[in-house]
Amino acid sequence: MTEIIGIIITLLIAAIGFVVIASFRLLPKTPFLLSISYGYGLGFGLVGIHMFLLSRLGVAWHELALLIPWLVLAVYLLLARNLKKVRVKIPRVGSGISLVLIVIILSLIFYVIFEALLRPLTAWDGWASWLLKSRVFYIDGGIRDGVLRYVQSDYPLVVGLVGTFFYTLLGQINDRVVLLLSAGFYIATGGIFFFSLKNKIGIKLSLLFTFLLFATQNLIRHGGRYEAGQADLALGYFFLADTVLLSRYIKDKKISTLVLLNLFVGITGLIKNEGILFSLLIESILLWIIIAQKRFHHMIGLVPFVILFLDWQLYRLFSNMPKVSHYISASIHPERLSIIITEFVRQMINVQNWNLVWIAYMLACITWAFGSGRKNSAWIFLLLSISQLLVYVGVFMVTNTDTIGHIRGVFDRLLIHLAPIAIFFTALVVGGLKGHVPKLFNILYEKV
Amino acid sequence: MPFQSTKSLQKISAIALIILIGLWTLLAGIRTINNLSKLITEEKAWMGLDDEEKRRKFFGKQYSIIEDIKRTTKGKGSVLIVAADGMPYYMARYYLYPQRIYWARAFVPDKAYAYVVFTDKTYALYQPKDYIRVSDDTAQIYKRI
Repeated sequence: MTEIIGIIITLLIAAIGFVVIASFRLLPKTPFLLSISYGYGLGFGLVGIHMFLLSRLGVAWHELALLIPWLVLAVYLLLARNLKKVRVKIPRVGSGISLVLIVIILSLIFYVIFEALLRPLTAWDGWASWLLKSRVFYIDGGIRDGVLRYVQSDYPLVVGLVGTFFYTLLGQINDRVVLLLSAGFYIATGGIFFFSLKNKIGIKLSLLFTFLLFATQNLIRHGGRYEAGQADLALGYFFLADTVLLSRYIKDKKISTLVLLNLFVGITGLIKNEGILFSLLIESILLWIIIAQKRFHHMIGLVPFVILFLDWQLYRLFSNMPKVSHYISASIHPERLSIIITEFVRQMINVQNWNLVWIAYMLACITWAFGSGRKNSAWIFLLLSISQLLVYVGVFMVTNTDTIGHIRGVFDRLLIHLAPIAIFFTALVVGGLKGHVPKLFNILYEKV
Repeated sequence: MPFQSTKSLQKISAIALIILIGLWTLLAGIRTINNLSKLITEEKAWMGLDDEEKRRKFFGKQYSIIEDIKRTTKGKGSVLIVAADGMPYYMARYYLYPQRIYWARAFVPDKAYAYVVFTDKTYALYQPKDYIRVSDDTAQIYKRI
């Protein structure tokens, strides 16, 4: 029974995001399954931000207080919007290969959900940080003064708060069922991945690459098996959603897309500190686009990000949070570059973690550089994945902690943030190769 | 000529990428079968256990220490864990909250804790002053007199 309630709560989070997207028409003419995949991340962020606000206003986290704003929006959606317009459209799959791929993808989803529900939390960072906060906030009934000093964390609170939301609706702490939140990110990442890709490269190739994404062992581990309960897969989801929405905004130039993108980018910075750098990167690109194309009235679309970013930075500054400043040293260590490259190569060839994700990504980069596969805005995915990778390299070169141990300890998790974008980029390059490869391989391609 | 060589490099890299995707698919397929087979092999050992039994099975002695501290202190009083690595501390801080847990690599009697826990028995070669031993099951637990 607890498991069923857990699944309902996870679906509720996706529904909250969907209600916001549909009420404000942030994604018009978008398939339901893509909207609900975005809805999961948006709902996750909004639920966390809402709980954070309630705690700061001194309002108790009663179930009703947690759900009322979303219920009001849902009622508005039912009354004021024509829900008939929301169509659950299942894409047509013609070939036998596609059907086989769908069955395998669904099996992997089932497997990850099963794994998430099989064991209680086992990941170190889960009980040392992320779900510790969920537990602490639930027991305390709010964010008590000084408690963040006790848990020794200057990380954003959204992930912890959504865990508390889950426990509050469940009526108990259950660090097994709460891992469904990680499985939710695994599924929603696949949802955004497939439904955004299929219009660019066709259903067959999109299904193939969605399978390759889902079959990546590190994603399976963080989605449900042993490493669930951390925030890295969530960040991977947000990096992908941000990048896909950015490419959509560049194409459709709609302010509604820009607002949704900025909500996502704002939430990205509230998932993990690593997300802040990515957020700033996206905002810089957006500013450049707006100024270069003289679309100054679109500046208003950046407001959601600015509010979320400033609110959190000011909270960090003025609250009793610990400052983990020892992380950054005063000097740069270029001699670490060889260690970083060695570790990156070690991860690249680590088939156990990644299958051939990174080798294929490197080859896709080379292919793209030679001028093949340059379609469907692949450059955005390349630019953002490489820029963020360089950001991580930069951080390693200024960090104060034990370099080799530190890099080895975190590199595989940092690559989770980038893996969905990297696989998406590889898929776009492969999708753009039609005509560049012998006819033998044409079986992969179909009319888009 | 340079144009032609670029063209052939384009073709080579494109074919190499397609072949690599084929190998990747094969590998992913094999690993998926391996993963799914775990449902009836490896994971069978976890089914039928309750959550506490699963924690004991996964964490082993480390979780027994947490249970020992919980049983001995009954959730009351601050606890200093003396251990070389942070794992027992982080686990205790998680599982025993709201009880206050602290960690030191060596025992220095600079602050009064209700309990001091030595997770490795070699640490407690002497009796900490003002404390009496209350448990010696998985770790040595001392209570302040």
